[in-house]
Amino acid sequence: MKIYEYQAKEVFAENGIETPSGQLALSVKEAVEKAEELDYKVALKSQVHVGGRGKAGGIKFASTKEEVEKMAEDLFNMKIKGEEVNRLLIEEQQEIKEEYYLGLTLNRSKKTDTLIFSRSGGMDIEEVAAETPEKVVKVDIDPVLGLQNFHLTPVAKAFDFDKEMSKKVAPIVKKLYEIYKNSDCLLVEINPLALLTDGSVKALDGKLEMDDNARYRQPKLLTMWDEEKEEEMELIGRQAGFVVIKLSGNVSIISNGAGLAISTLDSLQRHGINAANILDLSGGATSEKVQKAVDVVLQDSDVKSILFNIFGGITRCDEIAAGVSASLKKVPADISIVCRLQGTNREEGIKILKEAGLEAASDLEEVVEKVVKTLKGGE
Amino acid sequence: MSIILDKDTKIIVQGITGREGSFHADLMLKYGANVVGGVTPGKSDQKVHGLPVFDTVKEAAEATDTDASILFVPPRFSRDAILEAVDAGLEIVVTVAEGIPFHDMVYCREYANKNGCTLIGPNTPGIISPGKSKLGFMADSIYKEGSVGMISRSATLSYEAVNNLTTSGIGQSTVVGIGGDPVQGVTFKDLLPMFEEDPETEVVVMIGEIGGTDEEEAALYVKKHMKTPVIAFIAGEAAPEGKRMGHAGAIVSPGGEGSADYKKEKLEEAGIEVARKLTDIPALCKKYID
Repeated sequence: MKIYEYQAKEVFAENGIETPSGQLALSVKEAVEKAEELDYKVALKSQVHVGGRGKAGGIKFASTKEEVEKMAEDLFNMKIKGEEVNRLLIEEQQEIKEEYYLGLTLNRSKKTDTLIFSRSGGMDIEEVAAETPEKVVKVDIDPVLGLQNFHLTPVAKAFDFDKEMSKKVAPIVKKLYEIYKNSDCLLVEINPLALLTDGSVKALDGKLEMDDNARYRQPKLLTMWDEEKEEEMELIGRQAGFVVIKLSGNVSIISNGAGLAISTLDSLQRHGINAANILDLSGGATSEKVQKAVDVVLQDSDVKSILFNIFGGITRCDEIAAGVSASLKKVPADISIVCRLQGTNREEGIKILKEAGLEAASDLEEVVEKVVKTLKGGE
Repeated sequence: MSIILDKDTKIIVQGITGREGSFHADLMLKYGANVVGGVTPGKSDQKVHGLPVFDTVKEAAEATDTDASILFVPPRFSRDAILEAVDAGLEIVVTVAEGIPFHDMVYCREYANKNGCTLIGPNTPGIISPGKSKLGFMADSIYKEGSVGMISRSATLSYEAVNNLTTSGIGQSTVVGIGGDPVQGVTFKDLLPMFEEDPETEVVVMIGEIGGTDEEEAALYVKKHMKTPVIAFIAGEAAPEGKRMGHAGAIVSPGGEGSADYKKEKLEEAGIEVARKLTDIPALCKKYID
């Protein structure tokens, strides 16, 4: 779950990391009002979840009322990588001396926390790391040990921080680490972290991505979640208790495990067909749950065919078949259903499907070929 | 032989009085696993399937001299339950739950490593040494004792691959589900040396998927240290960048890191044959089995 820059900055400020003063504006009128308090010398920053906002022209600097008005209007009419701009952060402009990148995330290879610091603040960290790795310092932090002072020595050394600068940066890193842990972040970053001409160090931009698995213990962050930014089908799925992945094709894959679903997608694609969505039933789905799943995928108007791929372990094929059979009357005539049943209670499942007029396939390739035939035959 | 788990391995079930815990303790017993007890705090006055229930893992370990624990514990209580098992000195801990917060697992993984504990999971069906024992919830009827070692990130794909092997008459030595999360206990390169040491394992099948670098690191290990042949399968060639494909760990980074094509390339560079389809695995294995 991602939150906006202004929200990340709220979290920073609450934890004692300094940020520029600023306010949120939801309209041009509001933008002008908020800018007035700052004498119109402001940065207008579009609030979006996608990256690359600066390059796309999503940040503008004004110095008069007229400029604020014009720029706010332009920004509200903008789409950044397809994402509409509905919120602007109106912020006091800063006089910057130096810019850095500071982030905390998972080192996926070592599966430990890692602190990332770079001299090239304001730029995309992956690009910097790829093109000029010498400008990036990464320090792995043992999670059992937690962040200690010695972890910061390589950072100070790499960037020639004097004592005074180290004294300013160290508490920020420690506070960011606290946020990373206490707010269950997959990623938290300050980019840029700026040394200003007045000698202060502030977080000029912030990004925070929360672990979905920790939703239950982050009620405050959850209030910051903008549901509208979620893919509609994925939200519908979540509300019904399923993980749904929205894709760009026209087959709905319902399966009892993520790996099986991904493999089905691979196999479809080899036949030139893409999925509209994937829905994971997880283990042990009942007939009712199957019916609920069908209700969910039928809300996706791209769906032309529903493909069940089941390899039952805890999941029982007869339960799946009963759910499919009970759902048939709800499925419009132009949407086909194909099933593959394997594993626990397969024979019983096949019998139930037969009574409902459906033939079950026994392996993945067979069921995929059936879908291909149905879809391509109808062209 | 087998790795990690054999018929003598003493097992306790954490969460044994719960619906899932009780159900699968019974199935494990029926399979022949040496389940010696269970743990549920506050329920030590009960017995489940004739097995004693303890309040703490420490009490269970002292009374039963257990080696391993399997946790049927909800995600939000898993951190504490894993740490309790590691702290009690158990050698093998399997956690099946899906949805454990990421920071909980980062901590548990490191704590288990520091204590020499083999942590398997989370988000896994567990581990099975066919014909000997199972420490998990997989449907055991599809497995057959034999000489293929298997390591898989996905539960359902391991079922598929095992079923293909068994119906082709090929058995398995040990099948380990390492789980679909980005941070898990043991991974491919921790298990490969164990299979290399196992005289019964003649070939190892690795079932990987998009996301992370575990398969690439395994490829390096195989190239440097393995004499036992290794075969691989990678799911997710059709997955778009930036989408989490059901498993929390199955995501191709924007820019293509963790893609199926990249992983296949690295595996092939290490001399590992990559099966295009799961149904191709038995034929590839047959080349190396007497």
